[in-house]
Amino acid sequence: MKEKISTLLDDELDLKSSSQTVRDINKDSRLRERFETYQLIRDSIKNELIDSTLSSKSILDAIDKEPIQLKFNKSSKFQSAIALPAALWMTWPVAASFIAVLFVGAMITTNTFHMKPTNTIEIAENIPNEYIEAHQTLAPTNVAFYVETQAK
Amino acid sequence: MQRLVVGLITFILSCYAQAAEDPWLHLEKASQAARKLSYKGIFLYQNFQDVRSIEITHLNNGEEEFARMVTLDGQPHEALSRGKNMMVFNSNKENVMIQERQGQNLFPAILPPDIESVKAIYTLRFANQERIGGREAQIVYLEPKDQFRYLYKLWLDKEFGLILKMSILDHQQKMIEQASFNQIALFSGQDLNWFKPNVDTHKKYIMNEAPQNKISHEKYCTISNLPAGYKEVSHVTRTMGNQPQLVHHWVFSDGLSFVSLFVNPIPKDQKSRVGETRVGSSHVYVRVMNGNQIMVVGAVPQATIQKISNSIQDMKAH
Repeated sequence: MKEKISTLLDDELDLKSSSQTVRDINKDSRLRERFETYQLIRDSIKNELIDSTLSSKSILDAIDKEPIQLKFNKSSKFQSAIALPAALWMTWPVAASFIAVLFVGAMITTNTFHMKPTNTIEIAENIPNEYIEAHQTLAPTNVAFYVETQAK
Repeated sequence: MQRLVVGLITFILSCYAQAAEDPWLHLEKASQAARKLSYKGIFLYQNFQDVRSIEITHLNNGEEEFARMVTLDGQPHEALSRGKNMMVFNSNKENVMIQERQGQNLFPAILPPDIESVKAIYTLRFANQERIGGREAQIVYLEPKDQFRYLYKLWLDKEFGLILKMSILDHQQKMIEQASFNQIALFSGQDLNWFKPNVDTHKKYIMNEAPQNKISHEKYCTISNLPAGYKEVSHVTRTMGNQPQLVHHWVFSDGLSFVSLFVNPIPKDQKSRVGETRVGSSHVYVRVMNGNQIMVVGAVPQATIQKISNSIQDMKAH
């Protein structure tokens, strides 16, 4: 019967079976209660809770009371049920932008550390005269002989 | 009338012969003239803001080359070279510092003995003629085929081929270096009385012995993809200053310019140098790779310095 109620809610029962199932539900209070619970669960998944009289607490209570595993079939109706509403999709660009900013920030920080480690000296502040002199000794250039190229 | 016709025919023939002649022969002649002729002269040497007058005496006795260069401005400074060996004498108020160096490719002998290497990387262009130091000169341009070298403008003596003037220009036609004879004269004879330093004998002589360079055969790292035309001239290991660790020193040349590459492991207690700077016409670029400091020095475009620095691969990690 559980299966039938679920199928009924998904509008997948034929007309004859649907009528019989509805009659059974009306006769049996437990079945009616179950039907209502299933309806709540389905509506919560579909985000179609338009009845203002239903509170989230009642939904959660219902789900807690009835921890059944819904079988998600491949019907077009169900695909639309798992589709997130436009308002929810709109949050993704914001989240993606935030993550991108974090990523770029992390890259800049990493590169800064990589490019300029604390254990280094800028060459312009500490000109390596001994290396320039070594170059002039082995590289026979006019500058090496005629001009003092060493930093003063 | 007959003389005019003969003169005209001679002129046309000489023009035809000049056109048919390989233009690079002029450069080869210039390279040989600086080494084979005996000459004495004074030239003005300029490197950015520094300008010096230099007196040069050069003699080739058929077996060896002897040369003496004396700086006429500022502190006394002279160099005596015999073949590839050169002794430099620097005087200050109290002392005379004597240093041994390698002396080749100095003005006016800036061209390599074999100009084939220059042909591959430069285009030769002839321009007009000018008088330099009282002599007629043909202007030629050595135009680089890529961004890795400077442009050379040379004034070649019409008669002997000797370089009377040179200008090294960067890509914006800005002068990097210039040398020009104010006066020049050829001489014959093999007298070597002039081949001695003119220094004050009352001063104290100090031999400034640089740390000994050892020729290295160690494959410390792989160097590949150098700028076109650059070849390894030498590879030595030596110490630098008071530091105990060995520094690998390579010299690369394209025949006209020289670049040094230094590689050494960075001691744990020492800060490494990074960045780039310029000292006179020389660029210096330093970076760190696998715990090694890589430094490149040379009077070449910045692009050349960086390409040589990036040519290091498979470096030993420290």
